[in-house]
Amino acid sequence: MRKFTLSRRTVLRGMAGGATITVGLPILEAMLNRHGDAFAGGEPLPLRWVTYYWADGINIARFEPAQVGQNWALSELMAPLAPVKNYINIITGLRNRCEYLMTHHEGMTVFNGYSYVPGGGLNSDAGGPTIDQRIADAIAETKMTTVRAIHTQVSKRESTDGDGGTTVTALSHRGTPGNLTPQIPQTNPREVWNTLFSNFMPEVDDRSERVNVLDAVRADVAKLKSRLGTIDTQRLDAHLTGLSELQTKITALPPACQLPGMPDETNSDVGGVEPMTSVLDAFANLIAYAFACDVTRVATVLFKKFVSATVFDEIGASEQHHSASHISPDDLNYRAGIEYSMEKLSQFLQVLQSTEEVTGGNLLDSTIVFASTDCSTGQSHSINRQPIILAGHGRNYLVNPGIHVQATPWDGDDLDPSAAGNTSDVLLACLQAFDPGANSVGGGAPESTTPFSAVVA
Amino acid sequence: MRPLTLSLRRIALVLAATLPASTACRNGSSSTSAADGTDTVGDDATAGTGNTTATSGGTVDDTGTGGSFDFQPAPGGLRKLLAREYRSTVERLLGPEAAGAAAPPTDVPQEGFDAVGAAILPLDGVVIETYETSARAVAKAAVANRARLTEIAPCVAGSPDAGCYTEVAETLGRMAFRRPLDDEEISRYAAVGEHARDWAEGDFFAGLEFEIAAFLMSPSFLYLVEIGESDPEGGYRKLGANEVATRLSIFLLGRGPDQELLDRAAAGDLDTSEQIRSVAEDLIGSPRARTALAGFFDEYLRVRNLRTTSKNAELFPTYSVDLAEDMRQETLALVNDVIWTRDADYRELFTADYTFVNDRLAQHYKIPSPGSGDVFTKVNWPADQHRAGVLSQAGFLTFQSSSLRNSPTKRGRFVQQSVLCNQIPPPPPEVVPVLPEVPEDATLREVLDMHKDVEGCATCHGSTDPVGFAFEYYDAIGAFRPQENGRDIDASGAISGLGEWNDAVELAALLGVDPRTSMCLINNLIRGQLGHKETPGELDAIIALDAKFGEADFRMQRLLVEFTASPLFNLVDEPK
Repeated sequence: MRKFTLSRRTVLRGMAGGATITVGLPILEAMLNRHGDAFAGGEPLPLRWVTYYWADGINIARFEPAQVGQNWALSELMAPLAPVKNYINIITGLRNRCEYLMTHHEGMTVFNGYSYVPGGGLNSDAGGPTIDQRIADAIAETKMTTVRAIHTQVSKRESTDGDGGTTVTALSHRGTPGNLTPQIPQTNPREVWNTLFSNFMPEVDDRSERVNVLDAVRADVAKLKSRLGTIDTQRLDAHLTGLSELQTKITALPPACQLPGMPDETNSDVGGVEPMTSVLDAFANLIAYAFACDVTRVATVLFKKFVSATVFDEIGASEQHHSASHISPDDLNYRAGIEYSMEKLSQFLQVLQSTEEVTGGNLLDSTIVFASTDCSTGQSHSINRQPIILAGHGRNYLVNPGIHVQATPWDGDDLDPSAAGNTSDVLLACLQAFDPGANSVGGGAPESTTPFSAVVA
Repeated sequence: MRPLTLSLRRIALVLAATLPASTACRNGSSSTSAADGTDTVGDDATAGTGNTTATSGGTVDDTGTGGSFDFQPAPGGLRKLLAREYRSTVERLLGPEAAGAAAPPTDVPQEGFDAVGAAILPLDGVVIETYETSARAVAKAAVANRARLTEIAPCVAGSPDAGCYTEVAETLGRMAFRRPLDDEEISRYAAVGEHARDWAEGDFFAGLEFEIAAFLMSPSFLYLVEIGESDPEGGYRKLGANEVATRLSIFLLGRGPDQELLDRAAAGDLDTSEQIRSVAEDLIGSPRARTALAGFFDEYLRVRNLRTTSKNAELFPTYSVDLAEDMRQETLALVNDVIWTRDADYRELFTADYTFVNDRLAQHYKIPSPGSGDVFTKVNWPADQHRAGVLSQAGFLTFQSSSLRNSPTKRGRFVQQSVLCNQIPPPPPEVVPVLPEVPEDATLREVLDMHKDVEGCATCHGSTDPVGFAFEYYDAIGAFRPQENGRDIDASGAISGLGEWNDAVELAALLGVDPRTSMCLINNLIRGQLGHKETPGELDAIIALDAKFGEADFRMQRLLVEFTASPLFNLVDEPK
């Protein structure tokens, strides 16, 4: 890890969550080349990724913008995104090509390009690595950040219908098909802070001994592996990976950055109500700090699981959002819940937008946020026309200001809407921002080898 | 795969007996062959050739069947210690202060049980780091409070020298790894202590802290290793004595084995089914066995989830975290009473005409307060509330409801899936459910009844909702309500293969005599304690164990003991 020696005076100022935040800069201007667009050593400036997931779909008529191209206007349900509208590319009309249907599970193909593996009943396992992990792999080729990726979850509520399997367990899956490690999301902002920053503030410098312990333990893993079958061998390989990444963390030097204090928010219910706005705000700020300090470059935000028992109490919902989705696309609770979901996405994006960087611009200029849901119309959980919002242009990789691209017009059918193309094409276009040589994402019918170029600058 | 001689009908009987024909649903085809569901298990279990020897060889000679017996065990391999097992094991190893410092990662259940997730899922980086943080905190507390440690490794009292690191590796290490360490391991772990002592400028206890942390970070501590030893005659793998000791202790006491049990393993006291049964009888006499079994029922009956179950505060102003905890304790009190205090028929969990309340819960049920404050007291259910057993207790009724209203679907699904072990198919994908207009004064039952007539809804709701309607007298927090929307409650129902009822008491009576109820408990023990979903290859052994359960008047203490003597417990297939 590069050892920075800059002074604490070098700070950037930004507004986040209504409060001014001050983040020390890991990147000295002196370290940049004379154009300011790369480090002097030739290493490109950091490019960041966020997968953001909101659950249970949309109302197509009220969500998809009426105009396409540059002169698009925010729709009724996308209206909360107004403060970040210039950073938004919105893609509609694509088809998710998952090969099976089981209510909601198939929608998660939009995040990985693989069909799920059926598990009987309402269970399924993820079919392959998610896009954030492909991107984390690509980043790791050239730059080992202290934390490979951070995974957060806002609403703690689980499925009301007993949906199970790793599709439900995690939004992020690392590895290869048949050998995946679900990345269990963290719901408590204080624990997220621990994962990102606590290591830089040890009470005693006992790093040499912690590493020595890891070495001793690694020998046990190796011994054990020889006696096991394929599945457990893979699990122990994941265990070894965890140990070696922990070692990287232990030995990492702190970034030359003013690190944030531990947040107060613990994501505990207050009077039966989940503090979703406060939790999301805490996550957004932690991710913004971690990006600005280059502690990590990849994050996922699971706002709410599909079919979860979540009630949007903060807007006075009188129904679980998922239940409302099955009443009708026009159900008032459902529409309010979609609008609220967009408000929260906007809240998250505004924190990135208000965090400035010394190289100019803000975190939305250097980040690509891929935001989507698990279906179009919640009532039928159709995977035709699942919308994809790309926020941030990733250092001018995406069209900027953003546009609305519609793969095919909507035929007016809510329950089984028209659709064309392949949502995985968007994943491939995004992956190529981090790995220009990537030529495919996913597998089977949802696989893409044709990047969705319409949103690429 | 060893060829199975079981009839399809018998497999279906266990896995999916009473669901209505569901050819419209994917994953539902196995249920169709047993749609009548009226058979009992007895006729097949007693038929056959009289061969009572397990085909796997080994020492398992105790199938309890009078019929042909074919058995294929589940694969061996690794199963992570559950968080509750981790804490209890740390307490046994290092004392209560160390256990208080333990902060293992939260378990991730699959198939409804932590243990299944613990046997399947790989650990991600955050989990590994959480284990390290916990190990360091535990080690620090253990060294600061050395009473228990001194019992295990006496050398830590006084002024220990470097040789004590070796003694700790031999003694504490053996308990942590649940087997003796080999010489290489002993010297490797002792070296961790010495290295850290040098770093700490000669402070022995600083070195000890890192040695202890290393044990708690090792996969030999974090995973139960159940690989077994191959049978020279070609049968399945038999668990080794240390593995049996570990499985016994985890299964019955919810923690790793202590020295005495490992000593018995080393002395050859765990080699035969008879010996294992005898040790199991000793272990269930421990108070710890009650705590461990409470942990299983806490998970199986989902009452542990009550602490994170919220209700709409306007609709349910009396609901609170404290009341939710009372509900949980009420359920666990009935479990304790039926299984331990009375050693009664397990199925009385469903049929009991009494429950346990404290003053707050009595008020919730609108029954006379026992005047015992926070202490739980046994009371009879008032007949006019139509209640019986755990399924009429507020805990079940509250968790299996939404935050806004009760849910016959969720309640019925739990009975079908978790009490009777019937698999419910997912909704058919090609059908978009569109319900008709709901009249303003409709009851929830009337609204849900509309599913019956909607293609695509009926396949699942037809098996869940009628059962759930039996609990219509109880709202989303389990409080009694004689009416809904000004209309009298109708709690009657009928399901093919189960019978007809007028209320929850009559449904409970049917569950209490249904042969699937006891067999389903065995399935849930396999999932929740051993960590895998029951396999077709295990069916004969499950049937045989269920027969033993019946012979013992369905007393669960006997089931636990007989379970440990079963091939389900002692044999594994090739490691997964």
